Amino acid sequence: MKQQMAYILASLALLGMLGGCMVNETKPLPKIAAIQAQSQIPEDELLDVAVRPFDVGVPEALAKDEDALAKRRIYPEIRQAESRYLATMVRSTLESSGQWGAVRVAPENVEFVDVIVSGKILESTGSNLALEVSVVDSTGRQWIANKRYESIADMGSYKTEAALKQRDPFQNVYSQVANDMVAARDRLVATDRRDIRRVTDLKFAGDLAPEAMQGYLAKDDKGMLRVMRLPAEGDPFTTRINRIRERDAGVVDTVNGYYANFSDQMRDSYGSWRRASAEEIEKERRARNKARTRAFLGAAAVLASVFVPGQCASTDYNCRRIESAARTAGAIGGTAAVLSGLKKYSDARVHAQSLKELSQSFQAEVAPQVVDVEGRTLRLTGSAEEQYREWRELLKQLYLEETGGFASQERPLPGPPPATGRGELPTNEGS
Amino acid sequence: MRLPRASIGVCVVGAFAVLSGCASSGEKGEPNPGGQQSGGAGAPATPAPTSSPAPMPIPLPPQPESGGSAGDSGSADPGPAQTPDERRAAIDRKLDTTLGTFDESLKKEQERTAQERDARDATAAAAGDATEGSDGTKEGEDEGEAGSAETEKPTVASKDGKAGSSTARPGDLKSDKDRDGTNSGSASGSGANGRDIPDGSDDDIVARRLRKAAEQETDPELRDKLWKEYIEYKKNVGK
Repeated sequence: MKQQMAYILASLALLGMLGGCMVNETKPLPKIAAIQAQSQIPEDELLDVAVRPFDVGVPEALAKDEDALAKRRIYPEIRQAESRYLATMVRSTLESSGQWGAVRVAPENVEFVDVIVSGKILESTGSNLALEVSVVDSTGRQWIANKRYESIADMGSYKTEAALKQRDPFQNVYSQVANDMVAARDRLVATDRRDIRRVTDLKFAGDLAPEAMQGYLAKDDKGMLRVMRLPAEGDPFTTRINRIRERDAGVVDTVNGYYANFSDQMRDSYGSWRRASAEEIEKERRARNKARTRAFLGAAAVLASVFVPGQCASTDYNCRRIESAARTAGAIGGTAAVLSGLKKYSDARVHAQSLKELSQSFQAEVAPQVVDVEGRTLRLTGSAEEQYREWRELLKQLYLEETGGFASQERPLPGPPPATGRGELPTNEGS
Repeated sequence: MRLPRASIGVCVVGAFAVLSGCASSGEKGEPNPGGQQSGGAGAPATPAPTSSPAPMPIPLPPQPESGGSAGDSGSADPGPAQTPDERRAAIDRKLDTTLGTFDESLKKEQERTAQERDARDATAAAAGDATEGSDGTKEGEDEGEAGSAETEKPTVASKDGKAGSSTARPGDLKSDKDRDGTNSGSASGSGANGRDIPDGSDDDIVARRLRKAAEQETDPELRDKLWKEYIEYKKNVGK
């Protein structure tokens, strides 16, 4: 009995000392690949996709509190960069699957695309990525509604520079989004898919020439757009609109090129930041675990050495000496464990601070690039909007010429299309 | 004294007649064969040509309300046109002109973006070359381990019916993809046109270096030689 108690105390003290030394080995993540198209998709069912830069997900209440944000591992400037980078990664995954038409990263003001992917960054560090993604088509049909996609990093990607270039640590997240989109699309019948494309074309035409394109689309009971009629084959007016549509695609391509260049530019340094971030977070996590375990077991050993009732007879001096020695050892070991735990807490704080400094340094590097890409996007879409305005006016003139000016008098126009559409920056929360 | 007075009187009457004639032509809006009205501002007063299918006089295209450049004078200004066909043709010409101008500026912008990308690729390739020597073998192992390079060489299904056949980098422009479809191989932009360049997926370290050197080389002749060397090396290795 005496020996048992001594063993318990000694074990607690030892556990307190060694408590934090356990290592959690993580298994390699299974690699999820985007489902590849097995056969050629008919052209009239091949849907174009626009991926919006993601919402940065900075809580408004904390937007100005850097320390609070840093505690949550949110660095606003990095989030701004990630907003575009992650969209580009989703884009390349979708494109690589061969399931879609043109896939482009496009700002909010690019409206006339068959399928639009938008999302919000819920968490993004080197060790974890969580996104909330929504997908909607041009008819207004919701494919994916605010679904959460999350994964821990594939640590294999952090092993070397080459591995990092080869596969993004969060490729699984992008692949899951792509696969869900394919599943949602495959649930539609071919007519629906064709209608999506028609609706997109007619929406664009309606934006450019609202007078001429009245009555082609209408909303059904569910609020979804339906094609009511189609322009005649070879209609010169539609041909003109299609020519402008090609230019619109050119503008979107160019903006997409800006985002792609931006992502390429930041890829290496962002990868390094992610790797360092993952390491620091892992070190911090381990230090905290150790600190917690040591402090708990150390306190338990001290308490046990004080409060466990004596088991020896008052005349059994040998037993009492052993008991006393065990209590002393337990108290000393426990105290040492608690102190060691406190030191580990301090180590954890050092790692957190190190991550913060690292992130601030990366923020300083990436912030001008974000400003540059958004400036260029704004300039291009702004001048394109000016041009669209002129084309709208020319189309209106043509329409009046062709109808003798009656249509505009007899049928009330829905008003000029909002001129604010293009030429605006994407409005991200906290940006 | 009489003669001068009479001649002055005649002159005054003549002047009045001339002035009144000018004034009447301005007020009554007689057709001005010289087409002096600017743009379409005076057009509503123009009578509709008899050939017009419209039962009522057709108003000329209104001036842009936004103050944009639609009403700017130019070679295709619809103002002086008289018949609907002429006016439509003028508007179409203006549309063509603006489309052409827009294409040019867009093309320049795309070229600029492509140049920036190429410059960065070249820098990255040079940096990769410098570090390759030190961890070349390790890199090879890791490439195998990392699995499929989904984001490196995606296949493309475009509306132009090139599904899954061409390769594209993330961020390639749609127009680039179109060009890729007409050229052969991934090195089409590197002066290797017309040659059957291996895709480089199974390159060993020597082949990788040759390929990178060829991709980076700006001198067309030297680049050609490097590609030739690369292809020959690949053939020899394959034997």
